[in-house]
Amino acid sequence: MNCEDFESNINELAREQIIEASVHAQILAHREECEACARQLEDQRSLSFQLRALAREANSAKVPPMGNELLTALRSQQALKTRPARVAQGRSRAKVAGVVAGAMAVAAMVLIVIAMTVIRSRSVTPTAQSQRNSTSPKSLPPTEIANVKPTDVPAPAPIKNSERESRRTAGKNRRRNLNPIVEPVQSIAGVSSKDVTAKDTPTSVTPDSAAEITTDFMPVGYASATTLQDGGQLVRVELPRSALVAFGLPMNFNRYDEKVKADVFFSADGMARAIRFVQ
Amino acid sequence: MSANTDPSDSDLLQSMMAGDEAALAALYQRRARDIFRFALQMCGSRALADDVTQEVFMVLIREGHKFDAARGSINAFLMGVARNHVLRRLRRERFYVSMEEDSENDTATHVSRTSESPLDELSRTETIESVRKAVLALPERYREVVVLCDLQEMSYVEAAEILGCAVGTVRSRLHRARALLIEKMRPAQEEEAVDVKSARCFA
Repeated sequence: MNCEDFESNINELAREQIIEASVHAQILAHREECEACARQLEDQRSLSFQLRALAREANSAKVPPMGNELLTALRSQQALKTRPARVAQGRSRAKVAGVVAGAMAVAAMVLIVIAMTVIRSRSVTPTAQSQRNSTSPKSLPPTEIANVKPTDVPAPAPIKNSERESRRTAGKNRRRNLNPIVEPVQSIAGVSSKDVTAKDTPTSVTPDSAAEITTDFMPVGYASATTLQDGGQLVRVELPRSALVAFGLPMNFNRYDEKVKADVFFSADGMARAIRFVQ
Repeated sequence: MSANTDPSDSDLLQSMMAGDEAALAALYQRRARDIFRFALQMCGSRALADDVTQEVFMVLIREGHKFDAARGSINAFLMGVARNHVLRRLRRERFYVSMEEDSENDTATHVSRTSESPLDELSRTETIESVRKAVLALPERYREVVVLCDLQEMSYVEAAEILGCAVGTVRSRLHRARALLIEKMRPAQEEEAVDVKSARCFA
């Protein structure tokens, strides 16, 4: 055994650990041969002795008694273990309630959408509704329209226009594909545009209006007083009967393939502003 | 007979985790001593060792479910926790200066307590004190192997399990630690010898 081998085993020998007998014998033999290794072994043994003394002294030290903190911690830990189950129950209940609330909200939304759709499909423009309410042709059946007397209709303002202007407007309307434009009423064509204002909307102004039954003028789209200030032109047209429904008027479905006469009022800018149906 | 009837550490731990306070007390009585000694020898402060012992069992109560018997014994688990706490506290309190009042008081009580002759006892106490200081002066990695293998008389395997390293690492660290201890204690011994000589000459 050389010094290196001796040094690698010196700790076990000094600490009185179990060593193979042959190795132990070799170490002791080397100690006899090498003075430095013998001194080293002596130092190691001395150190082991001192460390043992220190260990003995540490063994005599009193271990602190178990504090109440540990018992409190154990109890609180147990309380925490039981709490998650309650929390989970509460969470599941809250989840169910959330799902129910969500379903109710979705149902409410669907109902609102359906209601909106129905209302929109039924309603025409709100002004047309008001017009209908004022003249009451809505409540009347188609046969009763014929019984409406011209005197029931508000008195029309006199409308005059030059013949040239009426021709020009008719041509303009044709170019704008106002279909079907049948023919301008001669008498209306002669109405002056200055006499037509937004306040006194034209109704039945034809000379032979006594023979015709008309509804009130119903606005077509948005028309303000400023757009009607420059006057306009009244044009007699024929429309499919379904146009009655579009304006909220009752329609006789037995005569669905027939056409209905109407007077369309065009403002100075050529836009259709009002309509009335004629029978 | 009684050893067979005593529940194992694992049984005690399971009972403790189920809320059995007696199991906690039994486990504390069985394992607190090693933990306290390890902490005391590692940091040299009784107050710190007390704290570490309590903290280790607090961890066991809170995180006892993390213990895996396949990875080692409960003693190794507890000592590993104690080691982590001690090292953390030592690093935290590195910047504080010890008053060393406790050690002086301990020395005084030991002297008065023993029945040996006062001179022998004083010499023994001084030797122990010098060894303790030398151990405490070691770097942490060497100190812990000395504490575990020499002071707590654990095997290399047990120490390796606690430290989480290879057995060879423990062996080499212990070899180096003991060499350092001899170096540290040699000047003190030589100084004592010089003092004695000068005293004789003076006389």
